[in-house]
Amino acid sequence: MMTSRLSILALAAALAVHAGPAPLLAQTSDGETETDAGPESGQPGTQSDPAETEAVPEPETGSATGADEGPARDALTEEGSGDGSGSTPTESDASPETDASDAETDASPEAEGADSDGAMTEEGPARDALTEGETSEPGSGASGDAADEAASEPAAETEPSDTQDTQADQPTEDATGQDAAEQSNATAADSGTQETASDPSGDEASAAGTSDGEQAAQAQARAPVPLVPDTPTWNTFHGQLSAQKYSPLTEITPDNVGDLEKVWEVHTGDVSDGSGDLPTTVWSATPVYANGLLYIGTPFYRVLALDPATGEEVWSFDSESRLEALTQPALKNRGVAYWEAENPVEGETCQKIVYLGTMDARLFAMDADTGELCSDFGDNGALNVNQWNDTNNKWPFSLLQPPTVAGNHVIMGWAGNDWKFAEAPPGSVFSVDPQTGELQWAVETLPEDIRQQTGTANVWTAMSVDEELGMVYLPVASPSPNYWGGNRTEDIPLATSTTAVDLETGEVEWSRQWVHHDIWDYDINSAPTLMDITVDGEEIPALIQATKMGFLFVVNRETGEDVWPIEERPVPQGDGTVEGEVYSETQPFPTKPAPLLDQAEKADIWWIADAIGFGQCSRLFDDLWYEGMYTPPTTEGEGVYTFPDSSGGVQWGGVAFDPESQTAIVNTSHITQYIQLYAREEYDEIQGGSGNESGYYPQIGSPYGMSLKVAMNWLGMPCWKPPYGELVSIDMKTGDVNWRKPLGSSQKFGFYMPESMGSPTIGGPAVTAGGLIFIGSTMDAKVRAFDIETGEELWEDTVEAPSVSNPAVYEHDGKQYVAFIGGGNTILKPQVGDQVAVYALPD
Amino acid sequence: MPHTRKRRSPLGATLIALAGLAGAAIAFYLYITPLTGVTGTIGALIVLVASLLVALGAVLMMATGHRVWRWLTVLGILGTALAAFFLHGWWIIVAMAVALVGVVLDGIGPVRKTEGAAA
Repeated sequence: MMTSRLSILALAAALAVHAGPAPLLAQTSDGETETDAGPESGQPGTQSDPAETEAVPEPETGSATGADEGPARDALTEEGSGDGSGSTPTESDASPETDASDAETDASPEAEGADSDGAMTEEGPARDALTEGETSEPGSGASGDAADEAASEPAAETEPSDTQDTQADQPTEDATGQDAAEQSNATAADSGTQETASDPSGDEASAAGTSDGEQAAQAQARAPVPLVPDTPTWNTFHGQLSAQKYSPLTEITPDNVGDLEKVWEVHTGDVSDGSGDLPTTVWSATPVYANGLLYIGTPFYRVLALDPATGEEVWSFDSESRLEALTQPALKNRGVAYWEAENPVEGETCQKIVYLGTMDARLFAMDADTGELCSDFGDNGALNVNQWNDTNNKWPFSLLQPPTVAGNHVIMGWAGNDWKFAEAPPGSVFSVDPQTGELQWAVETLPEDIRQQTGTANVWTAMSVDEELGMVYLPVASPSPNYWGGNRTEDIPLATSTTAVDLETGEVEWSRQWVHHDIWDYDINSAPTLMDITVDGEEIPALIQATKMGFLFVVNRETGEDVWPIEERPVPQGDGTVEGEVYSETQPFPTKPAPLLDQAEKADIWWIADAIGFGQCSRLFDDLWYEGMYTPPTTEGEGVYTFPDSSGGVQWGGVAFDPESQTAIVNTSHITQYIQLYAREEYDEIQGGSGNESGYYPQIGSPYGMSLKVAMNWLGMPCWKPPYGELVSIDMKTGDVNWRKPLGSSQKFGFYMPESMGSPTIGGPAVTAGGLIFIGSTMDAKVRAFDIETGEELWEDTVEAPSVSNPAVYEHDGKQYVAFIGGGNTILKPQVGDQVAVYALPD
Repeated sequence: MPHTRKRRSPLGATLIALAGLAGAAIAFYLYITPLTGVTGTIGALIVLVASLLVALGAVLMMATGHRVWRWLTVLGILGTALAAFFLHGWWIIVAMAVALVGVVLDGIGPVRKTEGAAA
């Protein structure tokens, strides 16, 4: 019994640390404009000889070692020893043994702590470097000054808007989605293609940038990539530009997947559990297979080019980026992007390029063959994206998500810190030339007249592209601050939306807003998955947009119109306690597919947690206000119940799609959280710490601070009934669920809960023509294969830490491989890793 | 006056002690070996310590003959097995099963009398 209770506690505590997605939306930043295109301490280094990797100049706070038992590893095995934040250069031997850390202490730096730490507010060396750089950047001019001023203003001095009467302006889409498209087009002039971003020469960027003609001609010369590539392709974050995460490979099947074995693994050494000087690492990269190599970005902002068959290092690149939690509670990376010229010129460098973004807003471009920086790109190979950070510059544009590369466009959004400020940099998406970094176009998601008073509505996750249609699909986040909208009562049609823009010009083609006046942090957090489906005998070019809410929206990707009706339904209005707030009267609800979780009413209480808490869960649920989905935040009682909130639903892994059977596969979490707003004075008195997607957040510049908590009893046991995560198969011909099953095991202190209870999930699936689903994503740090037809689990293995990205499936020298990253995410549990694990059938 | 104690054959207790040590060894392996799924976890340490306590219980059974040690050892075996189940430490469960066999042997084995010194 004792052990049983302990195990239950294990789950409880594990879920206690679970919070939600938006790892891109945490921590603080000083908002300095970084314009120094070079690394802070010397030039970034490329090591083309693996033997030389141990000689890499160590990052400023790291320690250099390539040994198996390097400091970082030591840190992992010596909980609380405090010595292990090492930044270790590449260790590319085939299978060094690394201790998986299951550090039992939450390694996440606390947001409040970070709010007051030197990274954000003190005049540390890093800040000096940024400031110095800014003054020397050509073209940053007035905007840079303005940014400086904005950055130096105490944000708390900003008064929230009192605008009240804009409810009538809330978008009201009809079931066809036509209104949304019209609305988007109507607003494109002021909130679509940006007018304020300036290129290095100071020219205004517009829908047709300075080199649009050239670019358009080049792009037209390229054959568009079909939605389902003719050959096995895994050269982007989601495998293909369609974000289908689909491989046509058939070597591995349900019949032989049980024989799958690990053929190589690499430990990058770029890991920190946060116990030392470095923030903890969150590594959500998906390897990119291109140019006959496997490219991987690391949370220490390095790139590894590996032999896909053996894991041997071909070259590595170190950006020597600052290893500081500038905008996030952790060092984060989701990998790299790849571009190659239509007709690469033999002997010329940078005909094939790998791109790496950094937390401090630099985009590095390096030759894909050698790892040498491309000197024509930006400033000697590094593009300072922060040069375009010219409104409410409170943090650098963190480039954690690799750019989306389509044709001759490198398209990127950015991540920031909308938990902290009401006024923040406005959401913007940039397209730059792949070889020069010259700005081609930019999209602004906020109407120009309100950009100063709010912010974000940024794109921090992957995008998808239909090159044949010439459209890029942007998953747009919510405006700032996350949980109060009194400063942004105006219509913001592109916020919390899927927005289709022209690949060549950046003009908004259509947009569908999935949450009106978002005050729940329901960022659209994954690339929409593009698919051709047959519904009622009609072939439809469609996309499916997964959401944190657990809704799956399916629309025609050419027009934005509904495939199955999406209804505007009345939603709960406020209780009158929140100053300045104007709620949307309706919200969009899809009729098909069915929501991944039932948000209509509070989840059932888990009787074990309630009993052990002596009724605490029942009392908590009774004290939480809930009138159904989209019940707004309140200052009253214990706050408002949410199911789910920022922890999802669905995370950035998104939906995988098998085009043969027209089956969509998606993993989802069931997490109950609650939000409470606090008047500023009260918040200042009670404010506490916060981690990744959970805790107290100031919303500086608004009248309210807030807290976001997971519903648990006093022992940390989840109050709601399992399952906590599921894998779901959907027939996209009908919108019906084929099957759904609990996914993985929750785990804490090493104890696994029964798989029938499932696990919260972060990451996503990949599917193959061989009839398999590959997925990690679970707390138990296992990677699994399922039969796509039945959902039966056929294979599993353990990796170093939860695999919180999509796996990559590729073919090299005629052999099929499946690659997982065991990187971990503190949202899921405080277990981090640096492992690349690659599997194949035995020869 | 000489004090007489009833003691059983040490076979059962010896088996329990060996099983406990085996369980501890397996838990130690799980704790230190990468990619076992429980590497470096508190759970693995708990089971390691619990297994050692089972072995200690067996020694105390042999040394004192008190029934209380036997019952405590049985509880320890069951608890360790349960914890091992949630750790997915299947071989530890096997070790605890062997320990239970030891308990049975200890319970049904021949009793011998020993004389202790007068107090």
